[in-house]
Parts: sequence; structure tokens; C-alpha cells
Amino acid sequence: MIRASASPAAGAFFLALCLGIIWYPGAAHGAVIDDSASQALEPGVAMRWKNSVPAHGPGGSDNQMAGTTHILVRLNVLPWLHRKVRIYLNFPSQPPGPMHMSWSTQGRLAAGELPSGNRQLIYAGPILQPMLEELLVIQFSVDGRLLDHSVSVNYYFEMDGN
Amino acid sequence: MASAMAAPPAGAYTFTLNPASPKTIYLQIGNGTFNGGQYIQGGSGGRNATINTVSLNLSPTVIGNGTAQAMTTDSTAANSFLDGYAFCNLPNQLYIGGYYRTASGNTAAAQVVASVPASLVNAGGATIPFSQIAWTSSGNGPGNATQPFPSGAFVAGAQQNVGGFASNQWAESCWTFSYLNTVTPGSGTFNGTVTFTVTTP
Repeated sequence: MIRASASPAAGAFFLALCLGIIWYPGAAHGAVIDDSASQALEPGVAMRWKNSVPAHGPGGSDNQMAGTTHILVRLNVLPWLHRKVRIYLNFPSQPPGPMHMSWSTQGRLAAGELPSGNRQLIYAGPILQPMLEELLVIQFSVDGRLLDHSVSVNYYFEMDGN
Repeated sequence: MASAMAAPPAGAYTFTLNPASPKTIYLQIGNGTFNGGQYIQGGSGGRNATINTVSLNLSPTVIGNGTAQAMTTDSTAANSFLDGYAFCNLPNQLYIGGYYRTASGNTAAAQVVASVPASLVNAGGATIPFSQIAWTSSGNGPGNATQPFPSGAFVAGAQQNVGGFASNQWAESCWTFSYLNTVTPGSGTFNGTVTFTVTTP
């Protein structure tokens, strides 16, 4: 009886682990939160030179471009209602290459910054409402030599909860 | 597994990053024009139709003696439009500089090419090879390091690369011209025009 009941549990764990690898590769650690109700206030991010003046003289180059956008984030946290959770913003490694992301908030979520391929804690505490809303002002920066055309980049929110 | 890693997870928010800064280039040889202040003040390069002259008056007693003779310019451009720094010394030096900005994976330098006639010519048709004119390259302050537009001499009748800009870089030099004085031409005023062209990758 003991062996019969242990086998399905081990199988389920193995299946869950496999799904986790498929859906949360790289730096992902938790469940991805549904943010499909979020709304971008601009259609895209216009990337301009971070410093208007290029570097001076031999050996100097300044290739950094930066762009800012506003996102009304709406996180569906209903599955974690009345639980204490930790929410991370995950900015995965992706084309066109190394990037940097920083953001400010209205206070419900924490402001921060991180390079691509990392995540950062933006909320720790109880979930008291089914929807968590916040206005993020996000700045992306990237080496302009990687931007010879428009590129799509993504981030997501993930939950480490009880 | 590789395709699974490339795909964003369900729930990921996707942005489009659009390169919005245009490719720009500015080349100044001698006098130039910048609109709206220096570059560090937000100014930008403008058009200037001035053709500057580099010249000398040669005493008959030294013609063809092999001793290089200093030339001077009528250019009034001593300060860099990058930041106003007094980079060149007038009237002995001719400013050459500018910038190249591009957002792309092509990091090759923009090249400056001189179209050099075969000769300087006087009213009677006598000639002096353009190869009699050479220059040294320098600049005040940090400009004394390796120059983006190095020392050289004109190659008569050639399309001659004289330097360039790396992408997203302001580059500048000051050229001090000299007449090499190794030929004995006829008398008169000898003129010739060199045209410089900058080409981006």
C-alpha cells in the first residue's frame, strides 16, 4: 500500500517539474501572474540616444539608447487572495542582447532596476484584493548597435506564494 | 527545449523597442556651422558653403631648395563645436572634425576621402604636383593623442582616405600644412581645390 500510494505522487512531482522547465526557463522561479488586463499608454517605446552627445576622441564611443513608456499594470492575483506572497518582476535574457530596465511606481509596488536575465522583488505582503493595479514608468536602455530595427522584448511578473 | 527557452512565458508583457534617433553625420573642414549652440548644449550641425584657403607666399630665394615652407589658412574655426574648446591654433591650423551617429549593428567607421587633383595650376598653365603639400596632425589639450585624421601628404590625382569617425563618436584634428618645396615651378599664383567627402557604411 505504501509503495502504491508513493508512486503516483512521485510521478506528479516529476510532471510538474517538467512543466516548470518548459514554462519558466532561465531565471524564472515561480508562477507567472496573469497580467493580460495591463494596458500600455504608448504604442511602442521610442529609443533615443541616452546621451545626446557622442563620445569624444579615439577609442571613445557612446552607443547607449534609452526609451521610456508608461504601463498601467493590472495583475490578477485572485488565486492568491488572502495569502502572504512575494511578487517579482522578471526581465529574461532575450534578443537583441543585454538590456537594462528601470521603473518607478506610485507606491503599491516597489521601484527598481535590473539587467536582463534577472528578477527583482517588487511586492511582499498579503493579497487583499483580486486585482493589483499600479502605474509603472519604465525605461529601457540598450546598446544602439543592437537596434538596427524594431524588436520585441518582454517581461513578466511571477509569484512566490504560500 | 531550445524553442521553449526562446518563447516568453504565458502572461509575459511584450514591448516593441523602436530605434527613433536618425542616423546623422557632420563633417567640418575649416569653417562650419552649428545651429542652436554647441553639441553639448543641444546644437546640431548645419550647412556651410565656405571654401577655405590654405596658402603661402614663396620668396624667390627659397624656391625649390627642399626646405618645407609653412602654410596658413584663412579659416576662422579654432574652437570645436562639440564643446567650444579652443582646439586649433589660427592661422597655422585647419580644423577637421565632426561626428557620426548610427543605431545599427554596423560599427564600421564613416570614412573621409579627399578628391585630389593632379596639380595646382597657374594662369599660364604651369603646374605644381599636389603631392608637394603635406600636413601634420595635432590638437590642443587631449587632441595631442593619436589623431583620427592623421598626418599625411596629398597623393596627386587620387581619391585619398584621410581618416574617419567611429560610430557614435566625435572626432577632430587640426592640420598644419606645409609646402614641401622640392620642385621649381614657374612664377605666378598656383591654385587647386581638394574636395572632401564623408561616406557612411
